[in-house]
Amino acid sequence: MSKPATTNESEFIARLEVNQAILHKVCRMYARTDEARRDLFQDIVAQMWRAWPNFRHGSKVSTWMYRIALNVAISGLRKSTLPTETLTEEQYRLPQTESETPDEVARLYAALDGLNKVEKSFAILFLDDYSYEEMAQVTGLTTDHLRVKMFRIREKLRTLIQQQHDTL
Amino acid sequence: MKNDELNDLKFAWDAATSGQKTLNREDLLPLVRQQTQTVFSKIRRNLLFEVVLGILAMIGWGYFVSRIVPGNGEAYLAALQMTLLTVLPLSFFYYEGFRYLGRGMASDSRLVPALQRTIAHWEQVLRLYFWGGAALIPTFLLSAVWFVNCLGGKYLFKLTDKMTWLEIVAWVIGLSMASILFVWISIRVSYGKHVSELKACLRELEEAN
Repeated sequence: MSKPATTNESEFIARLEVNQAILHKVCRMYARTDEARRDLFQDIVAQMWRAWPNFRHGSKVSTWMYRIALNVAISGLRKSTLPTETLTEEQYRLPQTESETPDEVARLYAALDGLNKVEKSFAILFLDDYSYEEMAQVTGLTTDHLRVKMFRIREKLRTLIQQQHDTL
Repeated sequence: MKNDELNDLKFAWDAATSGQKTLNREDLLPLVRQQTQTVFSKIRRNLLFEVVLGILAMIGWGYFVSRIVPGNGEAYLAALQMTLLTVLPLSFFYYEGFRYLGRGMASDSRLVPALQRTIAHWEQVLRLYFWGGAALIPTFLLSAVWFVNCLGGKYLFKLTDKMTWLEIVAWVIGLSMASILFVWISIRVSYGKHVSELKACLRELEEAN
């Protein structure tokens, strides 16, 4: 039986529980298999917990979480190139979605899969309705640069969606 | 230009993510307590393992020398020199390695500065690996030649009888270059590709600038 959570752990886990959708979205966006998603989820949680003492409680936790999750997804060396220890299925049960229909979701992710790692990070923030100011907080780019970047990504997404429709 | 397709995409995204079942606190606690999985912490663990192996090898080496050259002062001196020339650069290599790797990933910064720091971090680690190997191999080979020569011709060769210094230096240079090439290829194959990908991501991000 595991030890009860400390105050610090409890506070972190409470925040993580409320905002965990961010992690699931990033994992679905960047990892293709269930195993890869579990590994990525675990890596992100480990990095968040490590960075938690530096979190400034005045700032928005969701932005902080997006920052770490995207950094880990982009910068981390994945299992395909380096072996890692993974959690068992019992330790981490991958959540399933209830409202999605397989075709819609498959098309959605097929379109998003046409983006590269960096474009995906902008797309995920765009799809989550982040403003340019909030996106700047995550990426470190200026809002003007983000506008240019987002214009190109939206165009690319439109093309990818069109391709998906054409294949039907 | 119409935004219908993108609105549909947002709708599908919301639908795909809103009904997500979530992990409860009991599921999340073991994830928090799991030992950190970053690639730098794994390399650090490997280095620690190598240090332990190195200490064991030194103990074995000490035993070997005491058995093979009893009473040969020059051979003891050569063995000591060989040990110091190996241990000192290795100690520096491991000390620096632990120092760099202890810093970990810059994961809570914004994407651009975090990526810049992660790339710089990787380059430091890989440079250390490369120069550590490049400096150690010829040093080790040369001191090994001296040690073997001090054994008095009983083992392998006697310097003046079978090989000249010039031939030995040529062999050491040749072997060192082959080993350094091997170290360089190993680094490129193991982590170099990953660093190149990170640089491509950074270029892509900075393109907007």
